[in-house]
Order: sequence, then structure tokens, then C-alpha cells
Amino acid sequence: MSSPPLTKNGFTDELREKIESRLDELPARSRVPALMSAGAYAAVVLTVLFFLVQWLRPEAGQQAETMSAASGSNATNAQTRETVVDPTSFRSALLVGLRSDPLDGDMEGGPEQRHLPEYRTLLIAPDSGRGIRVVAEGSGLLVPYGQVFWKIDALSGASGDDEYQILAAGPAEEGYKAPTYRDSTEGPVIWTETVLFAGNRFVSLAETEQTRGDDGRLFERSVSLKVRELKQLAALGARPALPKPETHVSLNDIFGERAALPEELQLARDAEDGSQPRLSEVEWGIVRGQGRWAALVQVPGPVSEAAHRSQTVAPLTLPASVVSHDTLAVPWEDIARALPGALDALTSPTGDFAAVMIDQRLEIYPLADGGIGETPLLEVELEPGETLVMAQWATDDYVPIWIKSAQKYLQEP
Amino acid sequence: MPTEANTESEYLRYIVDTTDKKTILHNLMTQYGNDVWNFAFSMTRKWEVADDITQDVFLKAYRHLHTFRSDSSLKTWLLAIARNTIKDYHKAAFIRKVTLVDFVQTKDARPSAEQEVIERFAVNEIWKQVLELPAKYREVLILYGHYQLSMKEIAQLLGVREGTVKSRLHQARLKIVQMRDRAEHERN
Repeated sequence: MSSPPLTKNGFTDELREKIESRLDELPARSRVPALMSAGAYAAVVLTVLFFLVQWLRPEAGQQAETMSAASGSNATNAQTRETVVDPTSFRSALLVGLRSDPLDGDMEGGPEQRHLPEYRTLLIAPDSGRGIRVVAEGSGLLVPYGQVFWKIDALSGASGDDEYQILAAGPAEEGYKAPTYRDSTEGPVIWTETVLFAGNRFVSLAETEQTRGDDGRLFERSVSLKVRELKQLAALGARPALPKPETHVSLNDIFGERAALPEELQLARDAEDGSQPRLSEVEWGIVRGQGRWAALVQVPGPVSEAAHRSQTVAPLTLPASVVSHDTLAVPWEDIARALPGALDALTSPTGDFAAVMIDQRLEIYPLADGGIGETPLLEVELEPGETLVMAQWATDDYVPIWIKSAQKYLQEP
Repeated sequence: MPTEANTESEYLRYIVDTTDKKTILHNLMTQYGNDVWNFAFSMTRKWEVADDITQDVFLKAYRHLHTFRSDSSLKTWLLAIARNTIKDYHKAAFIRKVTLVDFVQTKDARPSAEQEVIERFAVNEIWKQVLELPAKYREVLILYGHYQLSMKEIAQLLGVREGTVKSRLHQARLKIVQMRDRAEHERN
């Protein structure tokens, strides 16, 4: 490896001149927008972003201005509070599920290497005499389900010329019956089930089918969004599963016929056959936005381009039966102003602490007087590209019960 | 006894005081331009992004020449700036991933441009395999194997413990061996 990676020099005279021509520019506040523009994102990306921004962050414009003003004046308006807290008095515990994906640079995959998502669960809880800390940690997702816990694991393997990563679920105490995979008849297929959300009795996942070209490169063939009950996932059996109604939860099951669908979906369906969409047929998933969960609806493309689909965030408020405690005790804009660079946040139902994802860390801050504390009480390092797929809270008497269970099914760090 | 880093630091301080900053940057780019670009490319595998990151790195270095500290070599200092800039890039990717757009967008059924670049210009099979590694393993292997940084320097640069660096290096080597075995198996 003493030689450079490529036979061609990337650092050209042209690049050098470009840098030298920029030396007198004022420093940019952030390179992120410029770097993002370097990529050619499809219209679907912009559409999804637009809807996410509009819907998940209705005051985004105002917030951006506020953040800018705050940064320019040494964040004098930041809503931080220097508070003296005793973390052991906290009344909540947070069970966090994380999915680690290949980094953006890895997403395209090498010609032969496939990088699979990995999952882990952390229980962050007050611990007498030791403040607030990670009291249990382990691989897979440990999901509270009624009075017990279930475990979701991603199982990888190969069968014939196919490769797969499928999800297994079952009670943590008894274990699960590992599902099987049946070979496709259409050449080599790579089947991946990726968890987007887990909580209460639901799990939302994306089923991705990829194939390999003659030269071994990976191409994406289809992505399908699903919401299943944990019991449906456990009973699914061999994959790829047949798309039977009883194997998943439809929009209709959750929202009833009153669900307001995105305009694009109406248009797409109208263009296809002139009929109104049937909610039971619309694919949907649950994804994490900033400070809340959101319903993502798959918009079918024209019949002639069946493989081309886009997704958009539906203007639907997920009920507490799906995402319990999905509100922030401190407005998102206050958190973003106090902690520039914050990507996501959760606050405890008992209003005593916040968990903020920022710069590849999950930081725990005390909450007091309607604001967020100044100094993190705990910092948990995240893997690059690690995202939140589960946030479940225990309060009061349930805290010691969850600690005991999590330490039993995961590990005490 | 002056270390290489100390000597560089003193030299840089001397020339910052006596020389036009633009000339210093010109010399830095001559000496380390390829190092920075190759690191950016290795970690993003995107030619245009490597160009962007390299520009950013040298502009940051230009603005912060006076902050260079003697406890690292110039090359390590520039690689640290590059690594932070790459992290910003991945952070942007992270934000996009939160919205799922990377995950669900339909991809064109053709080899990606960056894959074509790697296929066409990769200097040898080893580099091809290294570029296929997940980022956290690729990073330590490149810093150790190509840039010849010590475990300690890598640990400082990445903000992790030396034990973590050793473990990642071990995993990276294992993965390379597995990739070779697999390629060998497929050839047979």
C-alpha cells in the first residue's frame, strides 16, 4: 500500500489553481451545502426532503434564521440552563435501538462486497450512586412488548446463488424460530430486510432486492416498505414473504378511511386507473425525522415504469398506539438553537432529561425550567452513519424492571 | 533532540513570520496535495467530492496556519483537517439517511461513476479491496499502511483508544483475507 490508490493523480494543477483563486474568500459557515450539491440527487430526493422539511419542521425557515442569528452573537439566545441536577433523581429510562449502515461512501457497494446493516440496543437509565449511564447494551433490538421483551435479530446467510439478511423476532425469554429463505429463480438475488422503526408492538422495515450484474456489481431492483406487528414478523416464515394482507399492517388499519394521503399519491393512482387509492394497498413505513417519527408513503410510478417509485412523507400524525410519547418537552427549535449541529432529540416523558444526537454522539442533558441543560451528563459514541430506529421509555416503577430485564437479555457494560 | 514534528513546527513558524502565506500554502500543496486528495478519495470514493474536500482542507489550513501545533507532523495535521472535513461530508449523508432518501431512492441499473473510476484507475488489486472495506476499517488501514502513521497517531487523529485502532486494524486485515479467499473461490 505504499503506492497511492489510483494510477491517475487527483490533485491536479487545475485543482491547485482553483484553491489559490479562493484564498481571499471569507470562510464558509459550513461546507455541507456545497458538498451536498456536488452529488446529483434525483428529484425524488428533493421531493422527500421538501416534504420532510415542510411537515416535520413547520418553522424551519424561521429556525434557520434564528440559528444564524444565535451563532453570530455567540449564541446569546441559546436556551441552555446551567442547572445543578442529581441524575439519580431522574424518573425515566430510555431504551434506544440503533441501526448502523454503511457510510454514504459505501452505499454504492463495491463490485463484490456487500455491507449489511447492524443493530444494537442501549438502555440509558439513572443508576443509584453512578448518575445516568448506559446500564445495558447488546446487539440486535430489544423491544418492550406488553409486559415482556422481544428480540429482533438480523440473520445473514447465503442460499444457492442468493444472499440474504432477514429479520427474526420472538420473545427474548424463549428465543425465536429462525426464519428460512427460499431461493429465487431469477438468478442471483440479494434480499435485505432493514428495520426503520421498532416500538410498541410494531416494526417498520424496508425490503430491498438487489441483483448482481455479470461483473459482480450490485444493482437495486426494488424497495418495498412494510409495517408489521411483531407477531406477524415472527410468523412470517420463509422469505421473501408473499404479500398477504394478514402479514402486515395497512394505513387503513391504523388511520381508517379518513387518512389524508399526499397529493402525489392521488395523482399517481388517478393517472394509472382513474380510481381512488385503496388504503390497504398503499405501501408505507415509519421513519425518523428530527424530533419525531413520521409516516412515509410509497408513491407508485406509472405502470410503464413500475420499478420507479418515490416516497413522500404523509401528513399523518402517528397515533400513540404506534409511537408512544413522540413529543418533545422542549421545542425542537430551542434544542437546535442551544446545540447547533443537533440532528435529532428525544425528551423523557417525566420531563427530566433529553437525549440529543449530535456529531456522532448521543448526549444526555438535564431538562429544567423549560430549557435544556448546558453540560451533557453522558456522551455515548455512535458509529458513523448510525441512526435511531427505536426509542422506548420506562418511567418510575418500571425503570428497575427494565434495567433488570435489559441486563438479562443484553449485557451490562 | 528535536523531533521531526518539532522541526517542522519551528520551520513553519519561521516561514509564517517571514514568508507570504500564499507561498507557504503553495509549498504545502506541492508537498501534500496528493496525500490529502488520495485520503479524501479513499474515504469517499467520489472524485468530485475528493476535489471539494481537498479544496476545503487547504483553505482551512491556509486560514489556520498559525494554529499548527508541534505535537503532530504537517502531514498528520493536514490529514486531521481532512478527516474532519470528510466527517462533515458523512454527517450530511447521515442527515439524508435519517430521511431515508439514500435508502429508498431507485438507483440506476448501471455501474456508478466512482466504481468505474476505481475499476479503471486503481493501482492494484490490494487497493481495490481496501477501497471496498467499510469506512471505519478502510480508514485505519490506509492511515497505517499507506500514510505510515503510528497506532498512537491514528488513535489521536480518530479520537479513539489505541486498543480500538489495533482491533480495527485486525478486523480490516481479516476482511481483506476473506475477500481474497472469496475471490479465489470464485475463480476456481
